[in-house]
Amino acid sequence: MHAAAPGPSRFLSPEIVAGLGTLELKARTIVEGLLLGLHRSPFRGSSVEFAEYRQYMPGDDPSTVDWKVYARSDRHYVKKFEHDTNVQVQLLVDTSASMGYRSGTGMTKLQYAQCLTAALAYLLTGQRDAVGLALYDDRLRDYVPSAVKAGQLTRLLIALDHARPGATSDTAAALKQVTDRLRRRGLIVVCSDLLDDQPRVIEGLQLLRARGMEVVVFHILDEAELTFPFEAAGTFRDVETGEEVLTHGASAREAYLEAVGAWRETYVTALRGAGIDYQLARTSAPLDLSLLGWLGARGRTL
Amino acid sequence: MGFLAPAFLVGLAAVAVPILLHLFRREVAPPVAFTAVRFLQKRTIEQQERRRIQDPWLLLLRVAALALLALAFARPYLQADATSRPPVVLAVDVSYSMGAPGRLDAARTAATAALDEVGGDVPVGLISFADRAMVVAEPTTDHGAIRAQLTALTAGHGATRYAGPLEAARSLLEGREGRIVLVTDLQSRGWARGTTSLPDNVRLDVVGVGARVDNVLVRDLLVTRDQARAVVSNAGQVPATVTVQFGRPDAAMTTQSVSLDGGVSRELVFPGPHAGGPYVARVAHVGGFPADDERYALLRDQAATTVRVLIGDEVERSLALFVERAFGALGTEPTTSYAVTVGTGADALTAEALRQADLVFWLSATGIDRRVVATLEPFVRDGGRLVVACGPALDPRVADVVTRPLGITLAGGDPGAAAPGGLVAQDPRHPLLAALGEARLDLARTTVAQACDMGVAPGATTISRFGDGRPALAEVRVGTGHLVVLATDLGRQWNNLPVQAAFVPLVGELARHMLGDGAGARVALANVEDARYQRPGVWPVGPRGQLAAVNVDPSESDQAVVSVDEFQQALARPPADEARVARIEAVRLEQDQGWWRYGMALLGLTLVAESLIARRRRAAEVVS
Repeated sequence: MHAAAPGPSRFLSPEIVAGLGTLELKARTIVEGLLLGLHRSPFRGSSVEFAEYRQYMPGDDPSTVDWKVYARSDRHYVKKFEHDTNVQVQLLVDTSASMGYRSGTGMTKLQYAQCLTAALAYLLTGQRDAVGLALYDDRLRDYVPSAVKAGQLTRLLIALDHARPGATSDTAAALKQVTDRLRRRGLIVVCSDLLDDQPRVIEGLQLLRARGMEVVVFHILDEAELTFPFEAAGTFRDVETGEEVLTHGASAREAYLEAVGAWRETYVTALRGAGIDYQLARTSAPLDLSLLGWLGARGRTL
Repeated sequence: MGFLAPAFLVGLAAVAVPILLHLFRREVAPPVAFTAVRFLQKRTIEQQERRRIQDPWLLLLRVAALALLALAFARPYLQADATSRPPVVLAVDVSYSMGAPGRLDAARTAATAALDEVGGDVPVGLISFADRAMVVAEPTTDHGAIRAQLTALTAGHGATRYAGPLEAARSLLEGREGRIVLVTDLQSRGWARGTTSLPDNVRLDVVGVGARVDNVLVRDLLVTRDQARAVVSNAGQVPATVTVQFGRPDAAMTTQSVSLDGGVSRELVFPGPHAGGPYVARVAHVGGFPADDERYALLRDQAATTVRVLIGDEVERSLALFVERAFGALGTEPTTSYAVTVGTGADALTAEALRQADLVFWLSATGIDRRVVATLEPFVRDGGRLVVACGPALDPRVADVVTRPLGITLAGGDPGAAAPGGLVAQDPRHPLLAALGEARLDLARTTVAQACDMGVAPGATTISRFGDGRPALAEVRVGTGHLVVLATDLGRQWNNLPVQAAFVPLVGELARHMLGDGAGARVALANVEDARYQRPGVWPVGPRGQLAAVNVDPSESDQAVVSVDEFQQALARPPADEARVARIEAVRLEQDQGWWRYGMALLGLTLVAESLIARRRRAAEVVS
């Protein structure tokens, strides 16, 4: 059963989400909106734990019917079972200075990543996955080990809420630090603008994949970074390095867009080639739409 | 084009500032924070845009604003075009002698003829004059208005004085080249009060009008309780028999007839007793000058003019002796009598006590507190007449408390100071000194051993100085109040003035000067400031608003005339100061044209436009 194609108006714009109170409320709003669109949970893990039998009722999935019980009792029973903790998920959020950027009045990239990550944490802890969190810029800034226990979601949300834009980013180093702490294979979700040393980032991600990790990359970019809407001449200062470039917006746009396109294409090609999910997340796009874009593609594996 | 203050044109150099700024100073916009700077390529826009003028409209407006400011401060004016003609001022005599039948009509005709002679583009001004000159019309090319104002002129009650109209005309011409047409009956008495001058670039045309007329006038009227004496004169050349009426203006009159040969005066006596109040004598005579056919007099109810001499205590009574004796001698005249009282101590300085006196002499302040003597200042401000003579008994610093707020400062009085010398007239034409006549020479012979230092502020007048040049006698009028300050005493302590022959005349003329003629009962029409009372009658123009008789000046009845040549020769004609004339002309042109106002208005508009454009540009930059 496929999710109905949602219209644009059904999705929560970043402005609306930003206006909500706590991060938990934001996460819940995003996820509930998401599930409303999907009608049923997309998470169907291979390892489940039996909970109870219930008499079959029209509408139940025939695959859930326990045919052995039918053979014994001549009655149709369906199995009800709880998801078991069969996936260890580590959420990585880039908190480098460039993540604090926003061009309009909406969310910064970091805020967008916070909401996105919170929504994922809400979703995953709801199905009793072991979810952990790592915040990094040029090194690991905060780390919440993955676990399944009461209050884990709260810990994750608190850690996320305290994230502030920091220094330059070093995704490769952060990936290595996190990998060293992981005990078994699982899912790693990276939320970053990937404005970093591209070869090292790709290498780090490919290495994770090679170690059997499922890796998902949310490439979070501001609209201005994708379209470069500047017209006048002026000095552009890099928020991380402080490098200043004097240029003319209108005339520099073409070259810029070309360079950004090539840069993104490199990521897409290299990551997908390695079996890594790459999902572009524009900060101007609805959060649940970004989430849905990825879940639609990867829901089967979860 | 010329400039009144060309130095400000240096300010035009300031227009270079915005030009240079626009050429070399670039708006340094704050750097734009961005993330993907690594994908940007540097451009060479800096060097390309530097030499190009930024915002040419803003630059133009800023340059214009600075240029307008400099030009406005330089006060520009356009030189008068060649068609500008020197103005003509018509000065028409309206003294009461012009009231003779047909004389003023002749003056109007002469003035109109002079007006007809000048071209329509020549500005013409009009002045009427008698004792005073009055500018009826500033120079204008509206000759119709001048004609109408000429028609409206009537003969007044003043006497002819030529200095006034000439000064007024000179003021109207403002140093420019011009012409004055003086229309008068050329009475020689018009020069009585000094002479005046005209620069040689002003042409003076004197037009004499009127012939000698037969005139009978009341020359004088003296009324005492016992009798009234009217002096009637026949100023004409043929004998005349006239009737003279005397009595109160609002009651039945006594009539007497008198026959007078030409040039003869006769005194008519109207026996009394007469009660206090106003009286008038009228002569019935057709022709001549109507204004001098009547004369008013006032017989005051009070017995005598009250003079108060203020001293510190009874011991100093000798200080008041000479003043008392002088008024005693003056009081023997039939029309004036003085009641001199000596006030001592603080009681004599109360406002109530001072109000009782017509004239106050302050000679001593021994034993009197400074705060008490301060009442003398409001006394003067309220219309009182005060004579202050500082001396050994009246410390200059104490007297200064009263005189300083009124404009005369007193200090010094040290015994060791050098003798200042006798009293020398500052201006012999001053009424007080002029009335003294030869007696003022005696003042110069006075030996003054000591005097205080007197400072005379603008607004006060120095009447006389000591031989060493320091002010000796000064006066100041405050409303109807009058203060005269003598820098030495009147008690023969520091000088021998009281024993000089001129002392009694000096005291008498001082009283007359301060109170008016007849101890304030008569006031010359020329001295009446209030326009309502500048006509014969009994009006409240005396000291502190008391009634006083106002009469025309009988000297105006003197029909002696000067010729036009004599008139011209009596006038000093110094050369015109060309530089000053040019400057005055430039100032006049600049004030008339007022280009600086337009410049400032344009400057305001320019600044408004500049701010609007600059704001719009800033808004556009924000959007971009």
